[in-house]
Amino acid sequence: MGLTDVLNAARDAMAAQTFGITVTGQNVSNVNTPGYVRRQAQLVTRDMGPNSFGGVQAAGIQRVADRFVDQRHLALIGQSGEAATRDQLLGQAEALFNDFQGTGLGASINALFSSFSAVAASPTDLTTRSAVLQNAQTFSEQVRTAAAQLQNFRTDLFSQARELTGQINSKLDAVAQLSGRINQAHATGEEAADLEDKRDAALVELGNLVEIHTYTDGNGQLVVQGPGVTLMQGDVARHLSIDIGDDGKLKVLANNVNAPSSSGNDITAHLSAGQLSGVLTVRDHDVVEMQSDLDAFAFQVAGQINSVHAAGFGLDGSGGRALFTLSGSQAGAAASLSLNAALKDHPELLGASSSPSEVPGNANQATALAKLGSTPIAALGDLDPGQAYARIVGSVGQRKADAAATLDTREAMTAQVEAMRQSISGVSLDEEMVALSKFQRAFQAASRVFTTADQLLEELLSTLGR
Amino acid sequence: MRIADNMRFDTVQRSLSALRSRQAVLTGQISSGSKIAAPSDDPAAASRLTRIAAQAARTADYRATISTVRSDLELSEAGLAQASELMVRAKELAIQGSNGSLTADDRRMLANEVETLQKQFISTANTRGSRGFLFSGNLTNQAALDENGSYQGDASVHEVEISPGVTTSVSVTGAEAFTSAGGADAYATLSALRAALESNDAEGVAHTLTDLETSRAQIVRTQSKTGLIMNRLDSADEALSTTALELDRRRSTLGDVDPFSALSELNQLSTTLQQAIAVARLTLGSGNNDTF
Repeated sequence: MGLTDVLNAARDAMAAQTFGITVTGQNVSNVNTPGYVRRQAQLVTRDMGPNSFGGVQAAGIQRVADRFVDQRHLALIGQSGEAATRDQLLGQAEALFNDFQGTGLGASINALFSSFSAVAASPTDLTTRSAVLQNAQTFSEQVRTAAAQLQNFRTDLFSQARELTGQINSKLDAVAQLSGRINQAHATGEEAADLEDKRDAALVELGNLVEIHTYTDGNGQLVVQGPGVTLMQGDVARHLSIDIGDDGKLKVLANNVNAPSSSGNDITAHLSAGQLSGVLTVRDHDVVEMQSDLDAFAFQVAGQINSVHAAGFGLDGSGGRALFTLSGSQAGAAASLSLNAALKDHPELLGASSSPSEVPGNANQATALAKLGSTPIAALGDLDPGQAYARIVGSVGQRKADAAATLDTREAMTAQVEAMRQSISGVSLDEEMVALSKFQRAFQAASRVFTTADQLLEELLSTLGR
Repeated sequence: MRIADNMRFDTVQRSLSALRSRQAVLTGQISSGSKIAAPSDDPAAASRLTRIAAQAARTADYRATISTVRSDLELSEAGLAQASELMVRAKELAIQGSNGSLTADDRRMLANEVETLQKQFISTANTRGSRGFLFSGNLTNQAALDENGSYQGDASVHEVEISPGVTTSVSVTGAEAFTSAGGADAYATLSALRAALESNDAEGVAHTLTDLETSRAQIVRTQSKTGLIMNRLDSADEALSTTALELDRRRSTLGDVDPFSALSELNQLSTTLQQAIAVARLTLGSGNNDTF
């Protein structure tokens, strides 16, 4: 081999070490960039054919990532997203049943039974009778308000789900577009590390919204698998849309790429992670159960009060009046509960007496009404009204507490995997400092080789020229 | 394990934020005095606290009922005591009037006093309480006796629930105290006495003595019945006050913050937080500044 080969090798070495320094510089610059995956310069010996001595060549850069850790991360991000959404939304729903700050439904049902009891003690006192009407009205208003708020909450959650699907679609588009460019770059042998970083970051954001799995197909192209359906393949993404079914529940549809106008596949049953799933669970499971609990409570309690009240007689000696206007069926009873308009401002019509001939002193029916406050109702699981309400409070609290506990667990798991991911892909400045020295030293050595070879050549030339 | 730079920051941030959030919870509990700010803080306790609140409300209702009906009973008792005194005076007058040495004028004067007693008797029988006329049974909007002394009420009594499942009558009627339904008709006896005195009939006057005694005894019996009812109310109220205390104790155990343990935990937390901040300073401050 000749001296020129040495010169060439030294030139390659300096170029390669410079490349290494560039990559190190890139890592250092991006130490705080979210989604940045650290890179390593890939140095390989240059193949120069037989009998020739190879230099070094920068073959490219490698993203240091573990596909399996990333998969696990995506899965956990989805579960965390679902738990966080559910926790936050249930916190809002819980506030409707929170008697521990200010007065709530529990206080108003207690006040109603207290006023029955007061009428039982002094049935002729019109002020006491008026208090019953007032408390009955407050109770019915609070029940109605709670029912209306739950219904509004479901409407809000529909908008929220619609917004989320919009975000999911735009993220899917972004992933598809990036995938297209990455596939192109790979085909032409170009570097695509930055694009891959961006795509991974977009996938993490997408994974927080909806459950996804990714894999690489036979052509080395990324495929994004969603709940029960392929969401992205090649550079084509499916879009999600939502609709309301006949039962009032949300439906999530994945459109058909080949037939965009068709209604798409219903994938609702497959949703199990991601914020969208959290919204769906709260809207169509948690809140629906709260509504039916509230309906049962309102229907049974008001129904019992009505039947006892109707058996009583007012000061006018006639009876058969209901205290509440109540719908005929339990479903939706809470939303329409109100004080019987015929009794409003007519405390004398309150059915406190058990006999039309014993008014005004007879208070037996008022006593019976007061007794309802501690009488178990079979349809409410043999609980009296106060206990039945306490059960609603407990179950609402339990839902929120369970969601918070799930969130804690999943966040801890996600944090662990995130740490693992950082441990693999995160930039360590210590390491970069060492790498920088390493490349610097190698560069210095290569330039020394170059100088030496150069001196030798000069020596040779001067000898020849003499 | 390979430690990337961001991991150090993440760890510090996570531990600080966990400490801060526990600190916020404790501060909230101490300032509100309550362990539970929302049902989810402790669903089981929240549910039990709601039950206890309902039970406490019922207990307070029973006690309010007792205190309302008790004041009417006191009025009834006082009225009956007064009525029995009137009957005692009537008996004295009857004994006086049956004395054979009295003149017709003397008897007429006694008759005048009986007339006054009759008026007083009617007004006593028509005593009003919070429910209306106390001795008219359930027809509390009608006077018990009209001006002729005939009973206008009914025989039904006021019944209320005074403790869980215990319903009791808490009134007495004029029917049992003053009319023949309870033994003898007091006002009619007074009228008979007055008539005998007016007609100067010593024999007739003496004849009323038995009925006067029967009426007095009947009134006293009814009076002691009100006393018995009040005793019953008092013992029920005593039991209820024990229940109320017990409920309050349970509520407090379940829902109240123990200030000492909460404060000491908060103190401990502040120390931990300071240490964590010091460690964070050390972790974040040292390192690559020297190397780069």
